Amino acid sequence: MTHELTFPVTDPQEILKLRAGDEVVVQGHIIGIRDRTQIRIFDEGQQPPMNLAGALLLHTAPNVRKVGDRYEKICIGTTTSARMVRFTEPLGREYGVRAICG
Amino acid sequence: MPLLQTDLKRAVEDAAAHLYVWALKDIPQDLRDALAAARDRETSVTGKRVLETIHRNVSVADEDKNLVCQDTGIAVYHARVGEHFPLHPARIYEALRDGTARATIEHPLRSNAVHTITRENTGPNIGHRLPIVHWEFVTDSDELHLKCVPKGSGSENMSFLKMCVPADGVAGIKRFVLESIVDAGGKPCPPGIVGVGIGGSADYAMHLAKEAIMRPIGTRNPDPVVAQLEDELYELLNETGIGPMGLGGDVTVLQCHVEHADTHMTLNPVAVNYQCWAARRASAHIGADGEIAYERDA
Repeated sequence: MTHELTFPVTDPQEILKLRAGDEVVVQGHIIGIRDRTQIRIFDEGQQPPMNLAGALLLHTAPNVRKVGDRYEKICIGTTTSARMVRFTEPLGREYGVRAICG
Repeated sequence: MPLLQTDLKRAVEDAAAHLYVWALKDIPQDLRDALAAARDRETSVTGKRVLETIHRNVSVADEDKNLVCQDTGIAVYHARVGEHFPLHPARIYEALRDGTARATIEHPLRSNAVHTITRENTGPNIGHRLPIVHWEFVTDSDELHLKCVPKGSGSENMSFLKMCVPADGVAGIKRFVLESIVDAGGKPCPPGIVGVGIGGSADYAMHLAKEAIMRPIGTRNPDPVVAQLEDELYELLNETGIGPMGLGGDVTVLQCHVEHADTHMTLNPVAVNYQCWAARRASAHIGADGEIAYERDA
């Protein structure tokens, strides 16, 4: 089954209705995160720089190009999520993250 | 250095810089064929969908001249140096390091190199003992053959070594490779190339496993006994049902390559090194006069 979800989600039912094997088409905001950021949050006690309630996290570190004082994307893709699995539960429980893509 | 050597060093640096970026963007034809064949033979609905997504990923990279994967890896080179090639390997290494750094800065590419303890970035994909070079020296040649194999971490993290004993025999080798691939599951971005190194010593077996993933897909070891093991492992690993991205299916590996070295009579080392579906690879011949001939599928 294919669903379309817009992140951040506000209604938990939108996530609870999903079943293993379903395909999800994503709209809205995606927040990139990887090993180092999660080590900072959970092992070094630094708060994340943004609100993660209802968020979709993408396990990635993109290729970027510096244009002026901003970064422009070159290539964004997923990395192996299973490497960071110990952070999954606290991300949901403590920060309200509702989906992870990897 | 004399002028000729300076020019030659510059040619090797140019080749390294070009190969690194080229490998990251334009995957070899044998890999394209293997991925298309995988998509055609996959019967699981989810598995087929994953393989179609991989196909789209490759198409988008082709159309946009972009990277196939965001993990620009650690730059690994294989350098086959002819005895009459007029640049010393010490200078070849400097050129490979400078070429890697230049490509990383000029493209720009994501820089992955960090100090292994402090985790501080050490430079544009260079650092202490980075890039990594596999050396081979050949007689009766004045050429340098250079191959670049950027190696992503998702698959490199799925590397395994076991010092089997002689009594474990070939069955022990097969069992360990099978267990390794089952343990790895979806983590190394299957279906990819399973590289197996057998014999030699512990470190050399792992070195050979890496050499095995650098080969064009489906090539066979010239030793028929080893080639038979490749065929048997390929069949065996595709019976696991792990499937594309570990979500279930018929195609778990695109190929299994085995490299071997003779070993001690009481040793039986087995090393496994995985290469993800984006098995990036690009090669060049550099002549003694500095002329570069790029070779897409070697």
